[in-house]
Amino acid sequence: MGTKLLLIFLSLLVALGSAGCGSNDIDRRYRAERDLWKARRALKRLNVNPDLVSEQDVIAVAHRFERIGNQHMPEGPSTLTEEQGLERALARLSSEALLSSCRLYHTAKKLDKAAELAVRSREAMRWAPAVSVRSQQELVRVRISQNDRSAVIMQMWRLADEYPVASNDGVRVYNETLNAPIEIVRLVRADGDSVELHQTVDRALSFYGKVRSDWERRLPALIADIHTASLLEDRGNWREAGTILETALSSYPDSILAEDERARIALTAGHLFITDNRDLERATQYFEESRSTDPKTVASLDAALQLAQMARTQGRQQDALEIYREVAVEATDDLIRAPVARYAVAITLKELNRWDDALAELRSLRATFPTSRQGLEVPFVIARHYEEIGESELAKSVLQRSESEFQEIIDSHGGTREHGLAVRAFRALIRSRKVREDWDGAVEGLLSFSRDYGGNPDAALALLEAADICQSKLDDPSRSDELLRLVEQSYPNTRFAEAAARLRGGSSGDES
Amino acid sequence: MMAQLNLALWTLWSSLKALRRPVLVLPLFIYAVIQALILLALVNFHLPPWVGVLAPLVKGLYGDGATHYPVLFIVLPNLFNFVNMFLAAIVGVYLWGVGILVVARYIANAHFGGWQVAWKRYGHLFLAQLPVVLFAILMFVMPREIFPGAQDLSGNALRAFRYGMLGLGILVESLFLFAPLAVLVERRAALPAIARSIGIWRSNLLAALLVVGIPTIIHLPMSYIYRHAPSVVARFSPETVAFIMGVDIALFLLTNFLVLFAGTTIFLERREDV
Repeated sequence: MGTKLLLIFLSLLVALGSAGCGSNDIDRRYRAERDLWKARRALKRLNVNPDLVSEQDVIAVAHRFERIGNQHMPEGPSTLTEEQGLERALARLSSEALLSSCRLYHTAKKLDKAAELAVRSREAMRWAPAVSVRSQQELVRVRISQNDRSAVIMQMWRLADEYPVASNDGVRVYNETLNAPIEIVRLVRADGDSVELHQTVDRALSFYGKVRSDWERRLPALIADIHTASLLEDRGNWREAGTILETALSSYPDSILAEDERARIALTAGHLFITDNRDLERATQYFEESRSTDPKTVASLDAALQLAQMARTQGRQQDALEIYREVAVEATDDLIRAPVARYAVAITLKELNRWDDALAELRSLRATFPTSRQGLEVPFVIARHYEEIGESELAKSVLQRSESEFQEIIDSHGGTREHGLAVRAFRALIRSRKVREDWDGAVEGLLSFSRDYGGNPDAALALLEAADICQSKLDDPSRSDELLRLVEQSYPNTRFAEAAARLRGGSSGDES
Repeated sequence: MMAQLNLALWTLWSSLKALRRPVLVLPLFIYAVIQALILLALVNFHLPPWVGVLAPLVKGLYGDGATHYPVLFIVLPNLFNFVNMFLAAIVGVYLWGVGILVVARYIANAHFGGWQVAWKRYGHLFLAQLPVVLFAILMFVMPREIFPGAQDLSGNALRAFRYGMLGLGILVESLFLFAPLAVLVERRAALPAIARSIGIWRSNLLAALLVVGIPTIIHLPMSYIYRHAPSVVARFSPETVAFIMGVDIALFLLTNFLVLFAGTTIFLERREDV
């Protein structure tokens, strides 16, 4: 009896199992998910301590993902319909596996393999824009690593062409696809010829024109407006660029054009109207619009600095002073704009013949921001004032005193990650010696700079300048010649070597 | 009071010693094997022949998401409990009955019948255990309807609720603990057997509660792990949940035997007293 019941139960189970609708589908999908999950675990283990991971480990995991992609990728056409739900799920999982594999091969510098997998991942997901775009982005990155400029440009154009399908998948994808043409223009500008640049800009403008008409008054159109204005500005077509931004400001609602973006666009529009025929009225209008947003944003602070500068050039020093003071307070934490504003306060006070107040402001600026561009400029402003009132000796002593401070900055920042500060201090030191007409000191400073920053174009220029001082101020042609030879030897086949050879030829000619 | 405490501890200790005799454990071992097979089937629900039955069940209970890896392992403890309720009501009742008869024969040295007697009394056994099964199903299927505010509890209130539910479970199980014994040993029908069980329960309240409660508490760490199944899946591997459940089935074999042996001992003792 019991055995019979058991047999009936098992037969029933088998019958139900084989009749189970889509049972094989569930099995296929479940296995793919399980394989992918386990591969991701392996990847997670790699990421726990990347420093301890060898290239072989990375390739092993990449291979695992690749195998999953190959194993579970459904056969048949790459365009899957809505009804092919399982095939779509499997294609998505497989494509994701191929993409992960591509990224890992990329990390392991197996670039050809990475490119191949990115292409396969993209082709498998033509029907799913979000995944397809991600694959395309990965392919662009691989081509960049391959230093294959023409392939990068071609793939970036393909990425840009994905924009209509990518636009439903979030701002990140919008940006990646919509930024592609402007990135291409930058690439071409860096090392392409002018004809290619012209053609590329034309193509980018036409691309953005299409986006603007397709997505009128929506986010992609706004991004296209901004990029179009930027391209037109680079071409010198400031009025048209300004008009595009002007229209954008008036037509996009706050839900699309956020406050900080509005401030940035208004600032750019203001700049464009100044550049174009000095249309001060419209420029002021947009700087004020930018200023009317959150006063602590970078765009708002820059707009205020522009308004103050315009007031200064129009002879309204008192208005300028007030704005500069406002900015100095608002930009307390901004290490770039705070010294700019405080320096401008001091200069404006000087223009208002309030030298004592200006001097106090300059000293305070020097104490607060000693390494800033404006902080380093302070001794020169003070020295210039003493020169203007006929106190040359006092001017020289101010500069001489500051030289030890410049030297201190050089010593403490040279060779560190902030060596830019040291370079700035070096320049100030040399300039100070030149102003004091301490030519030996200036040459010594320039040689010291060229020694510390050998290989840097600025170091070659320093040697050329030292040679010039030796020739023109110290009347030492042999030393000048020696320095020019040094430039030729240290920077062969460069424009510096060419300039040195020309100067040597000139000086030999003079001698003869 | 002390007598009941002694009785409970002594019977539990005796049941531990009785574990050395495999023949006493055999019926519950068979039940544990069936549970393990069901667990195996649930873990492999995507494979034929189970998929036709289990996939719709998983979808019906937890939605389509539960048929994906590794979500299945997060719902697995609950899913297994659900299936196990029916297994206990249909197969467990019978094997529990056989276990009672085997243990009663060992304790009383008298023959009360074997596998066939349990099969013949299956209807009464089933009905005598029905209140416990219904209670479990109600707690599983309609917790929101029964305790509408429970979803919003947190912290100590939630802990108190959980311990309260555990106490209630122990109370209900101990109340009907002696009913199968009355059906098989005294050959009573279901209702009189339930009345008899309640009678013995009332006169041995503490012993009955301890005999059911102490083995139940052994499973508390497992319940904690099941509540944190998502963390187990994320930190270890999804299969870890299934492995822990396998260990739990083995543990259930032990604790079920303790309850069965101790319950039978108390029942036979009280019967002799009468």
